[in-house]
Amino acid sequence: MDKDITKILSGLRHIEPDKNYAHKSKMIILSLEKSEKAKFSLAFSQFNIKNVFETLRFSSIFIVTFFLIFSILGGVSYINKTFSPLALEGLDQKSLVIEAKDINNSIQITLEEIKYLDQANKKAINTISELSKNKPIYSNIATSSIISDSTSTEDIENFLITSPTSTDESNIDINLLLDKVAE
Amino acid sequence: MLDGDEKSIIKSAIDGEASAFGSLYDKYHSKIYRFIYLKVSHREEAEDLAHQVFLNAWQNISKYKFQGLPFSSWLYQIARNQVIDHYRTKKVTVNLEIIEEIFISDYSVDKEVGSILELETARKAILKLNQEQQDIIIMRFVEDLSPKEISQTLGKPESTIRVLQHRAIQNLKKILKNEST
Repeated sequence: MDKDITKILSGLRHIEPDKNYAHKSKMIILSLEKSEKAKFSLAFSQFNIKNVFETLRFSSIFIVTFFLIFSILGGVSYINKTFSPLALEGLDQKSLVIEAKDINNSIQITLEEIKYLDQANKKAINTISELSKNKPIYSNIATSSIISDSTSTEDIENFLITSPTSTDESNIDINLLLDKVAE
Repeated sequence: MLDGDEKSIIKSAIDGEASAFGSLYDKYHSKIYRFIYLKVSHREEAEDLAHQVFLNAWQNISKYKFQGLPFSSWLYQIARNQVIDHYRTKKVTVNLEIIEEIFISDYSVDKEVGSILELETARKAILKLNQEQQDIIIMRFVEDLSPKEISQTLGKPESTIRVLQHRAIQNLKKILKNEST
């Protein structure tokens, strides 16, 4: 029985596909391109111009995408910096430094002025002291008259009462002295 | 196992040489077609599925690895999956009443009407087996593959294949006995 079955089953080996169908099927399959993966591996093994253009196309797409992302991020950063309500002028470091420099310069100028005035003042004091040592200045004849050895207290009182312009004259003398110092 | 010539042909096919794959097609197409035809009920379906098997093989030939697995086993695996998908997606059920027709043209040699009837009876009986037993009967007794080759194709131990083969033959006998009575 087993032998009969196996014999019958082996008879099924004679089943064959239609020759026309088999030929057409083969031609169709072989005319189709292989899968993308196989094509990709072939691209490396077969270097040609088409592959170069394919690669260039891919790289150009990559570069354009990169620049788009870069410009979008740059734009966002600029808008944020320029129009943001949080961007206060006082918080800007550059403007703060410039402002500080201006203030520093004005302080320098003021100090120099003070120094100059101080020096001028010292010069004036020195000149006055020198003049007073070398030659005593008398405001006028009236004044000189009271500064003599023989002058008494009464004479001075009389002088002060009888010389109404004494204050004006002494002012004129002081002015003269200051002019000299200035010279 | 692969002989040297077949190995070089397969390598050429993997490299994209269409003529090399054409050689493999010529060598294995009949076997694969037969395997599918005995598992489905219609010649047209068998033709479509066999075409699909070789198309898939050509498109995925780079995935084939030389690891002791014969190229035919790889093709049988694709064919098995194709038939399973065919039944699963199209919800096809084998209508044995339709298979009553005898396609004498399906047989390559002229046979007596009596023997053709025997073959058709055997074909119908195979269709009544489950998928696994069908695979073993076709591979072992129709295609004359060794238990080792079948175990490689189905991914099961050789001892399991022998047990399954014995069970499949017993079932087939029962079916044929029932058919004759």
